[in-house]
Amino acid sequence: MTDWIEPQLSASLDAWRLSSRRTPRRHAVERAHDAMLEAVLVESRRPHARRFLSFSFRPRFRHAGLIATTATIVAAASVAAAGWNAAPGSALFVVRAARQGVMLKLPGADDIALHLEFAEQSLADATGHVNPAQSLADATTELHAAFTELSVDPSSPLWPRYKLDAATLLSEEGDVESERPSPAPTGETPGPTGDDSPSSSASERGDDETARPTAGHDSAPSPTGSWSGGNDGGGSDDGGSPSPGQTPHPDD
Amino acid sequence: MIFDESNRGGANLADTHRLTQAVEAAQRGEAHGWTALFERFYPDVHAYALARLGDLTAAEDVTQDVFVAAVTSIKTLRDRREPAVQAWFLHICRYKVVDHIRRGSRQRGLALDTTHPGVDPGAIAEVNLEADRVRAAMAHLTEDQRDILIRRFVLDQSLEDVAATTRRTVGAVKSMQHRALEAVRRALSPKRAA
Repeated sequence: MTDWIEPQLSASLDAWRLSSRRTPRRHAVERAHDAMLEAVLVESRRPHARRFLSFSFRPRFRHAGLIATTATIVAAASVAAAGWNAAPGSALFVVRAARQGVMLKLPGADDIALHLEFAEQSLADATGHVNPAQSLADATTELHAAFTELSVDPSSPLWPRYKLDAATLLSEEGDVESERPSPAPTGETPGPTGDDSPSSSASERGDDETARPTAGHDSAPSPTGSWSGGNDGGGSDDGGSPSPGQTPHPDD
Repeated sequence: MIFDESNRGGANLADTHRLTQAVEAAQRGEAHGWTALFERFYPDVHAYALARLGDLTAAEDVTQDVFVAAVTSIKTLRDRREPAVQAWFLHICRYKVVDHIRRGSRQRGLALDTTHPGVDPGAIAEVNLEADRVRAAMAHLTEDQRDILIRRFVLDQSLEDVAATTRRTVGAVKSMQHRALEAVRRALSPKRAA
């Protein structure tokens, strides 16, 4: 003992200690030993089919732990399933974005094909009028990413697919533009050639490209008018970012 | 001999390797492993229960319950060193004692053993009465404080051992012991004065 204890208290503690250290009675010891061996026997006969569920929870918490774990797994699976192809703008769209991000990061993934696939999903959403603006923006981003990677491989077999998707994008953008309510009349009627806004030119080009999705070199469908039209003036790219117009064409 | 100071186990399983083997055998469900653990730890568990309950018969019942309960839960025992195994048995015992007290299944009794020749029954009775006063005074303590007093003053564990097996710092154990002793002293004082 490290602390000084007053004699009276020490005497009481000694008495307590002596009283507690009484020798157990022989018959009680034998009874306990027999009971323990009986329990060992019973335990050895018990099936251990549930061993794979042998959590280290205390018995009183075992059921609660199992229920909580199961509920968590079910909830996570439900969220993942519900958000797997969630529509753009929905609360679960982050799940879809995360899923696409993971697919792109998987080793051995064909990034170009995946970008095209994601673009096609977004285009399908736009076609189905599911948040068209957001869907087209996503498709544009994916096609841009696909184009960036395609541009280093002029002989890629994915070029035709890309062109088709780009043409579809232009077509969808045209549809969206045509469905947009016209602005209030201001007294000035923009001339057909005076309006050089990206949306207008994209719409016009989209109509043209939709008719001939696999047109020749000069009229190859290009998303430039749509995504870079608002950024850098359509096809007049300054060379800072890749553009289909500047890309070595597979047919070249 | 009524108070057998030597009967505290340890002789059979003093070797750490043998204790580890006994625990492993017990975990495999082999009777000889359980018998070795029983012989080593029965006295400690019994002393712990008796220190709390003060009733020899109740302490024997609780000790039996501890070893029966240990059979079903020994697979969860990872640390096979002696202090850890002892702490594991005492942990079970602590909860069995609490269960026993809650059930109130048995009236406390002195259960004096006066069959040993040469021992003054009056002296035994006096010691037991004083011990009962200590147990009554311990009613004012928390469960953790009681646990520490038993480990320190009945099982003679060092501060370091108590700290290690109760997952506290030595300072915390020392502080708890000091407060517990002070509470016991205060509880005993008026009775002595009376």
